[in-house]
Amino acid sequence: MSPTSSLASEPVSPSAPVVSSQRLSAADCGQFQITGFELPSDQEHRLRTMGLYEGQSLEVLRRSDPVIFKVAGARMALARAIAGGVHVASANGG
Amino acid sequence: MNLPIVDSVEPQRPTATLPSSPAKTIALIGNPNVGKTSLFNRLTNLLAKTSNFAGTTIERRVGSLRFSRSAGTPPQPQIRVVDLPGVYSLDGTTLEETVTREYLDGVRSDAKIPLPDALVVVVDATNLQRSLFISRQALELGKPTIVAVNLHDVAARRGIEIDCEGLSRELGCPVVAVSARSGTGIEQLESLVLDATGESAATATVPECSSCSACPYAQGHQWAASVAAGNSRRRFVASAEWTDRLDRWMTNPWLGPVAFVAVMLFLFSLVFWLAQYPMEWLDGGFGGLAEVVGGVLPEGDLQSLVTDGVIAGLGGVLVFLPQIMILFFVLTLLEDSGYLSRAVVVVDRWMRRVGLPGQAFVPLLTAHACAIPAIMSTRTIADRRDRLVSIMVIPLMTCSARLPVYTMIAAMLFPQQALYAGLMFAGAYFLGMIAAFLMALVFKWSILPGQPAPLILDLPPYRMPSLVNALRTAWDRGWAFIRDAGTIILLISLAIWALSTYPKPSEDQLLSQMAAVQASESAVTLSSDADIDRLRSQLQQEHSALGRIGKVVQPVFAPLGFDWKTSVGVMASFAAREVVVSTLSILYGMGEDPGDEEIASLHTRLRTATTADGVRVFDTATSVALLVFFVLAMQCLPTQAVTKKETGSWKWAAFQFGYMSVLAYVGAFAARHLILALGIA
Ligand SMILES: Nc1nc2c(ncn2[C@@H]2O[C@H](COP(=O)(O)OP(=O)(O)O)[C@@H](O)[C@H]2O)c(=O)[nH]1
Ligand SMILES: [Mg+2]
Repeated sequence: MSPTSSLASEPVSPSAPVVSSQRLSAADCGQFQITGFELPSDQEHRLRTMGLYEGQSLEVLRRSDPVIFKVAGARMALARAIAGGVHVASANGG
Repeated sequence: MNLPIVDSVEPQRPTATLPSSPAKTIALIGNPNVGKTSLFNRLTNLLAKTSNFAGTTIERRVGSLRFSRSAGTPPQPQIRVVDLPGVYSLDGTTLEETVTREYLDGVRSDAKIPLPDALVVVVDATNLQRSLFISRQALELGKPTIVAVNLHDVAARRGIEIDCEGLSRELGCPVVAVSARSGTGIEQLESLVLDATGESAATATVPECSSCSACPYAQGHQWAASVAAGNSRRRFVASAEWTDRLDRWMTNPWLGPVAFVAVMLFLFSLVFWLAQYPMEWLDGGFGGLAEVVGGVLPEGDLQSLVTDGVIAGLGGVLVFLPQIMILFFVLTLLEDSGYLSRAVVVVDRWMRRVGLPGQAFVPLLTAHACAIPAIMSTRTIADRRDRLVSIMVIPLMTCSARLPVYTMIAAMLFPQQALYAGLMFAGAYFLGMIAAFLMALVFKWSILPGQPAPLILDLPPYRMPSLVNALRTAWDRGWAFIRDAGTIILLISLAIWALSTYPKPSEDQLLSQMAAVQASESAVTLSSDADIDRLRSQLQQEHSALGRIGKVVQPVFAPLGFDWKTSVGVMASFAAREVVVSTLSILYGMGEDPGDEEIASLHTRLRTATTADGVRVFDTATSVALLVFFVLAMQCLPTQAVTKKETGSWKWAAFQFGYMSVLAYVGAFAARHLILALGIA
């Protein structure tokens, strides 16, 4: 599957340094940092207990539904619906 | 319906401050999959009892610490060990986290599990960063605390070294490296437990810089990460991790489902293949037992009660045990290996479309052995709506109690045509699954609206599972089945026996009826004593409460093509579906307990049975209607009882019964008329 096929509305240009935050559901494979949440409070709380918080870095392994990523040394799967409420920014500017 | 086992005879523990307090209690806490249960099994030598926290479906295990030290040491004090559910934090909002917190706060402690005197926080040596987070919250509770760094063996293989002394200094509590698998460090842990539960135990102090409450999670995790980084190092970088490599295949959108289907097919064949032997032994054993006992007891009601009621009932309970235990054995191996959570990832996307969460797939799988443990295992589904939908559709899956019925119908439809019979079986399984998914969809649109809770799932690393743990779980599940369902199944068997035995016709009635039968049906020749006995039990059955009910309800089933005998069989099978085979066998004049040869002749008899006007009773249309009916109908009172218990209300059990009965009736009606319309003979 082409990495951008399902998300035509959010163009991801690999060459431009991504400074603005994007949704985890739209993130390509690679390193990111969490910049914020936009989720019902119980889901946000749940993610926080599992080690997801602002400034935490994570590595997206598979951008399917669910999104699979590594965080705090562990692997997690998050439904797209939730990953859409996690904002991330590319960890390295290029 | 808990039977009082070991626990209730334990004396109520006096308050914890009394010096004479007989037993101390320690609790194991930690993230899921760090090896708490394995460690618990080590410490208690597998002698433990699983139960639920009162009023919840959250399980806990309690056992006594068995010291592994050599004999000769002074008598060890009694220490109770409690295995708690895996949690990520002590202030979380999931049911597990709430129950764990309430237990540690003393709200949920009781005589069986008093408030712990000391805590053992289990952390994962291969991922300290993640698992240390909760240890800080545990230390804040101010109890004597020990941190057990488990999975030491795996860490060592991966070149991870952990500085326990350094950790101990930073955490301010004893730290010990252990391996629940190899036993390393267990003795040390035991002596630390002794110290921690002793008179002069040091209570934990909160590690520094935890006063910041503005951002507790970020701060806690950062603290955990820095402590972890400061006290562990990698001697070498292990070559590409297994987990990464395997996950590339297992969670791949295309290969994942293929691997999933392969694993499930393998699991199914293994379970069914392995279980057939013990099931045959049990069947044979109970048959033999009934014969022996029947020979000893004088003929009459008591003999009939013991052999047809009690022994047959017990056999009916125990015959399901092999499949249930083997299934849970294999499932636990799969779960501990880490594959099961990948399977959830694969199926979640598809199951979500019909309103079922991915986690429901394990219960749905289990339902192919028996709906009862399947409904019990929906406890892992946190969301109530999701859990209810799962429970409602689980009994549509083909359980092993349906197999004798399918076998009977296959013989009526396809005598000596193994291929078609096999296809019919596959079709019946498939029909059950499709019906389950369709009904889940209907519920989503109607009474249980909403989306299944979105997936938040930890994918633990792949690990070699432990046979001991799996055996332990299989035993637990088997025992829970006997405890929760066994008594009900037995009671129901007795009730059916009574209903099909009483009231009895008087001897005069019998004789005149037998004479009437002989006069009217020239086909019936009563050549031998056995034939006379058969006719006798046939007439008795007809006279019994069950027979009368069957005759009364026959008009209801007439549109499906069922005659009154079949209707009696169907009515009897509403308590337990496999009963239909023995009931039909009696009604079509085969005697009570058909053996293998008699089964074959039962099938012939059923196939060739005709009504008074010479029409075949079980023509193709009726047979198919019967099959569809048995695939879809809720014919198992024990399942109903478990549904009531797990949903907390008879309303859901009644609803389940109602919708499945309607579905079965409509399905059977449609199938019959479709076949008649197509003109298939
Ligand atoms: N190699 C190894 N495997 C372990 C150890 N402890 C637990 N495991 C495995 O880790 C998995 C999870 O263990 P379990 O006891 O169920 O963890 P829990 O969820 O914390 O109760 C199982 O496959 C265990 O066999 C250990 O010390 N060494
Ligand atoms: Mg466990």
